[in-house]
Amino acid sequence: MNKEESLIKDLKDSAKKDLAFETLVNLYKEKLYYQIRRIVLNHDDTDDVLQNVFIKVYKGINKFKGDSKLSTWMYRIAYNESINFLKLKEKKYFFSSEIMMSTMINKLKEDPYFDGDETAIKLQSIMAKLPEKQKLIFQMKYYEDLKFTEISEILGVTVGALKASYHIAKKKIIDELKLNQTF
Amino acid sequence: MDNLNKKENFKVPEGYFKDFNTNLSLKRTRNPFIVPSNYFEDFQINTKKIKSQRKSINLKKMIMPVAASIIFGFFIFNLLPNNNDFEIDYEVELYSLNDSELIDYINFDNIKTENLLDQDNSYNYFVNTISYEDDLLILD
Repeated sequence: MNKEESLIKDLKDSAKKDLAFETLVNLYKEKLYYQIRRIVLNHDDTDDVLQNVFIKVYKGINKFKGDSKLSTWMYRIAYNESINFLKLKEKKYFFSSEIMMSTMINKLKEDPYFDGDETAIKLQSIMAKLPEKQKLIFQMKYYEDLKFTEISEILGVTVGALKASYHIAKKKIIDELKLNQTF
Repeated sequence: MDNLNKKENFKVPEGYFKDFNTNLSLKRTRNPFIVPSNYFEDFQINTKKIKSQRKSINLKKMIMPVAASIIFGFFIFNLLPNNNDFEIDYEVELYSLNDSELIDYINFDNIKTENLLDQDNSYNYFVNTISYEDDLLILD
């Protein structure tokens, strides 16, 4: 039994669950944080979503059948929670997704927890224009170095389609950045 | 030998140098997101709170159907069998009122005054339509 299998076993055992859950949180909090942050952009929202993700993991661990890796399952929850969070925000403020994204990106300039230069902000705004799945595929591959097979399991898209999407997204980003290149 | 040195044996992907600067700027921006200090060190999920949340959610789930069925039962019990009683009570109450109290029950907004008969018209109508039997009854 490898480490992950033993962790899952402990998580499903009510006597060991809390301790195993603490281990799980420590193992994945950072990875999931950045995955969520790249979608929702600001720290406070990320913190809310991350808490919800772990609560869902805690409550739903018994439904995890082990068809995929535990991390993949958690990534999928984080992805769904982040997208739902943005949709709720859009509804709350009566914004279209485009307007909300551009508002969020504009806020990045004053965000004390964003350390990017003009290029980083430009990159965020270019990514915001990509179709949702294309953007996520690019982020998962580019920033998190996930394997195409893992992304495929998280997003439910075939590896072939993922590769094509990633290259299209990358090309769009490079082309747009070139247009704005200052050096 | 000179020719051998001059020849470049290593190949680069197409467009590599063309896109080099752009790729470099992309790499520079790899992680612009920063977190408050000690955020990850202090991050924890309160499992006791989750358990208590779960209990209250279950309770809520139980309360709602029970409350709905009580309200439904109340309406069924009170409205269906007692429907006529309500009308009778209402009528008894109306009969027990004097004129000034009764007037409060009348919604004048719904009365179309143009449809009301004036006194002359009603007298004429009465005189023109009275039958012999009616006459006898009045005389009685």
